[in-house]
Amino acid sequence: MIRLRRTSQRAYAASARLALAGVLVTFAAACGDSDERAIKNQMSAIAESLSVPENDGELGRIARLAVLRNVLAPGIAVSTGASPRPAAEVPPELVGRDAVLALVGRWVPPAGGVTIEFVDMQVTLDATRATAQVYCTARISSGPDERPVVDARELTIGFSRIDGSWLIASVRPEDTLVR
Amino acid sequence: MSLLTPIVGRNPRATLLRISFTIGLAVVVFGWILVPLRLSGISMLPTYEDGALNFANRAAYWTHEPVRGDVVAIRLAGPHAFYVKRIVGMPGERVEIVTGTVTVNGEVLIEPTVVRRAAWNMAPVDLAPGEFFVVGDNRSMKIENHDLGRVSRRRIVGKLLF
Repeated sequence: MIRLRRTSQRAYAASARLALAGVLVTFAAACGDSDERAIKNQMSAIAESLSVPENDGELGRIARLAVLRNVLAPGIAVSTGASPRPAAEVPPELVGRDAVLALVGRWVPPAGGVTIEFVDMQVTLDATRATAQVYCTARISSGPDERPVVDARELTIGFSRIDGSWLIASVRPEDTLVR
Repeated sequence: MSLLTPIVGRNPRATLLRISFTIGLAVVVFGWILVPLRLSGISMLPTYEDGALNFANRAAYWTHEPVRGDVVAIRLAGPHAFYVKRIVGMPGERVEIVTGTVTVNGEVLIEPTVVRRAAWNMAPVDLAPGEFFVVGDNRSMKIENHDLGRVSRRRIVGKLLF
């Protein structure tokens, strides 16, 4: 009887250790790579700063531009890819943080606001962990009610680690449909 | 008879198995075979209304390749966003649009699903093996405002169910 109880205790202890290991593995997998997590957080910040709520005021616009400024590298290069040629061959149409901020600042969002979100993000870090690429879909929704998706674009966003922060160094659209 | 009997039945083990099987079946069907999607936008009018619910049937292309006229879901970066377009050009063909009329290898393509048609023009496009030419049914806007073009087979997720 005593022997049986000890065996049970051992079995319970082994099960508890196994469960704890499972929890730790799950937690580690959920947390993922810290750089990858930092980049995804930056992507969320960008999406938030580009999204415009309904009845947005001047103060909101300035705050969003300030957030955006903090996530852009000084030498950022942006291609719009509005060309029949493959996007990779199109030279960047906007170069420099100030140029990008000026364009975003001038942009008049549609009435009812606009929501931008990045989905299906795939982060690839280079071997030196100094640069990274994010391949994702940008979903753009507009309208006051259910906010239907009005457009979706594939993007490759390049990040560089500058002074310890991951900043956007390039934005390039990918051609889903090629003309 | 326990209080739980109406919920779990007389054989709780069998009930649990049935529930597990149903959940498993739903995961397999809606995860890998019928991908649920909500259509957004006007590019497929009048065939599909904005906001309509549908499914991309992956199984449709298990036994054969997509064919002209199929309305297909086209993958972007992942499984959370798709384009929905109609196939008008098959691999190896030459597709051209002249004043709103699609021609394939020089022959006019009859498209009964296209009701609104602006005078689009597009230079001939030669499709490589494994490439399809897709376009929406609503051609009333300027061609610059419509997503159309070549798409590789690997991006085609499935055929719309209905």
